[in-house]
Amino acid sequence: MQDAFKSTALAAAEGASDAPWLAARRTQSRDAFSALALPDRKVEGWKYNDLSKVYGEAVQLTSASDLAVARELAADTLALEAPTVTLVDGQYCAELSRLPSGLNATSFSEASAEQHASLAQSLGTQARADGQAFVLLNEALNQDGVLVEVGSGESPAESLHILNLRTAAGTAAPRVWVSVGENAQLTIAEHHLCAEGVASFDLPVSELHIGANSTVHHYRFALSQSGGRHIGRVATRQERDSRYYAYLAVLGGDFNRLDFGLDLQGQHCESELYGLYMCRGQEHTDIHLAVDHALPHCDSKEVFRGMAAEQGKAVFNGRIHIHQDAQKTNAELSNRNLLLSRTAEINTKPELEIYADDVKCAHGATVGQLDPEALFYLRSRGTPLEAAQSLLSYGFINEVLLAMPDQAIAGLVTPRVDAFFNDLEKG
Amino acid sequence: MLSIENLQASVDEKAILKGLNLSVGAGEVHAIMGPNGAGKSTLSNVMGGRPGYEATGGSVTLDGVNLLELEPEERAYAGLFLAFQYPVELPGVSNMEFLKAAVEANCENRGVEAPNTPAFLKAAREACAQVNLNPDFLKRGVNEGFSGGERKRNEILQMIMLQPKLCVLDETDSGLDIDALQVVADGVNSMRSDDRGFVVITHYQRLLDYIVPDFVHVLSDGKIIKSGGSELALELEKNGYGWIEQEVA
Repeated sequence: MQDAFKSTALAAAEGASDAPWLAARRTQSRDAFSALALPDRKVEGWKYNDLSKVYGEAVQLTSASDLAVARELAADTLALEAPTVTLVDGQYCAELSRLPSGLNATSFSEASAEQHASLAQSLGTQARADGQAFVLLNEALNQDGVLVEVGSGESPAESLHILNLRTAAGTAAPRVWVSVGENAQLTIAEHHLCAEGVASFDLPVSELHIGANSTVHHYRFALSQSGGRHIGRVATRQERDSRYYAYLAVLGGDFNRLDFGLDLQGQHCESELYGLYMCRGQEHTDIHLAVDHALPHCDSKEVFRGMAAEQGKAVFNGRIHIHQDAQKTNAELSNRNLLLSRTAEINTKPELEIYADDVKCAHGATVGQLDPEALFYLRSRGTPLEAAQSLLSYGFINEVLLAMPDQAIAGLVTPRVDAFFNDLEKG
Repeated sequence: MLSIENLQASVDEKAILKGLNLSVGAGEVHAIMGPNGAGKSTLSNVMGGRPGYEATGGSVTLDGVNLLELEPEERAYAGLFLAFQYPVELPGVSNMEFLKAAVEANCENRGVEAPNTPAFLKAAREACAQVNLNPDFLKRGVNEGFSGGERKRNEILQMIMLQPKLCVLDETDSGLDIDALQVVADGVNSMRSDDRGFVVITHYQRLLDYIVPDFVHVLSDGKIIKSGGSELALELEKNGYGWIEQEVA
């Protein structure tokens, strides 16, 4: 199965793009991918993933997009009237984009020769560090992407939205490169949205480089109505005194895997990552977090809440690596999970690797059911059982939703959360 | 109003209540005192319908309705309110949502019209002022990060909002300093009326200086062994429970 997957992937890579500025990188990545063994359950980091959902289908780039469907998917985000760069099935869509005025953001295809030259240098420097097969495949298949550059001292007032819309079956491998200079500020929201019943295969990769003393708020939502497979990678690097806040949500989709890497490469960095994932039906979601504390005096905090209902299956792996030089690190990881049925499954694993001796590192991971005491408390006040269950379940993930400073952006997730609970009540 | 007859209950197959009788009329405040292990908390839990506290015999009727046959939420609709000894945290559920859901469900099931949002908000803010809680508490998670005193005041706040017929206070005074005790007692006293009954369960006589009961009952080994007026509480405070237990034996 893996061989067939690989050979269709390599064939698809042949016709992916003819952009000359990326040709060398593409060939290199394709060859590396070709030589690499694809991960399977025997590989520790993938042991809870049923990759037959991925390898079972041939890789074929999407050719026939549906603009009407794309417009519908984009509606709620575009209604925010913020700068937006939109890719439909991996290709830039000018019609659904609203290019920012005070902010330097463009699709790869529209970028200048100078930008191409710098992209060719920087792409992959962060995400590829561990040579993941799917990052290499993204590079081999990439057709377009979004480049965001915030110069030193700049702080655009509006948030920037990147829409990655899936309207038709097949593979797309979009790419995002965000570069924020020194003393700058940016709010960026990545939306990976898949229309109902579309058998899509998404391989998005985003890299963010945050310069000294800058602040970035990064929302990343992967929301699928039904169907769809998504293997994503985010790699963020922070320079000294920078602040990075990420808010992740994964809902829907047959198969979701997100590898989120945070690399603290300067002193006095502050990072907070919040995430929620909810699966039901036959859905599978795996979030792999890797936080690297390379230098002293950095604080990182991760708060993740997961929920699985019906036969849903979720995996959370939170790795915090505190290197020998990273004294006075303060790292905190909390992952709580709620099982809403007997057939649902959640696997969670905090992984702490600490090589420095003067650090504070706390972690907590739980998998449980709704607290019967809390249910009784609510019922004793007159709230009926079902409403009590729903209040508590919502409360459980509210910690993540309320952590999002821009509630208008958070509001793009809540309808999906509501739908999750409503569908459950309907059975 | 409330009539408890020959109530028997077991917890983990151990008999705790062994034929308890109590009758509370409208407008009355009854205090139930007793040593540790007498069954005080079991009484309130059985009345409230907490899972794990099953009555094995007898009845608890409130205005003719047998509470023991009802789900916990239905007992609330029947007019029962139980102030918890240890109110739980509901992280992520704001006090406002919590109160609104409760008020609406009670109104709907009691056949009264639920207040509209502005009226509800006004009532909630007034209730906050009454128990000396900052209205900001309404936005916070229920009991999330609250001190012991704040939790108990929040119980009284809920009692004010839900306007029950019968209030059962389960050791609401334990863990409170005098200031908090005063606030809780003021809240309870403000709710006293001719058509409402109270059962105040306490381990300490102190609370009864602030909420003066009409009747005091001594609970020991699952039964009420002595009843009297408020002066009985003072006697218990002075002499302990031993003399009554001996007297009854």
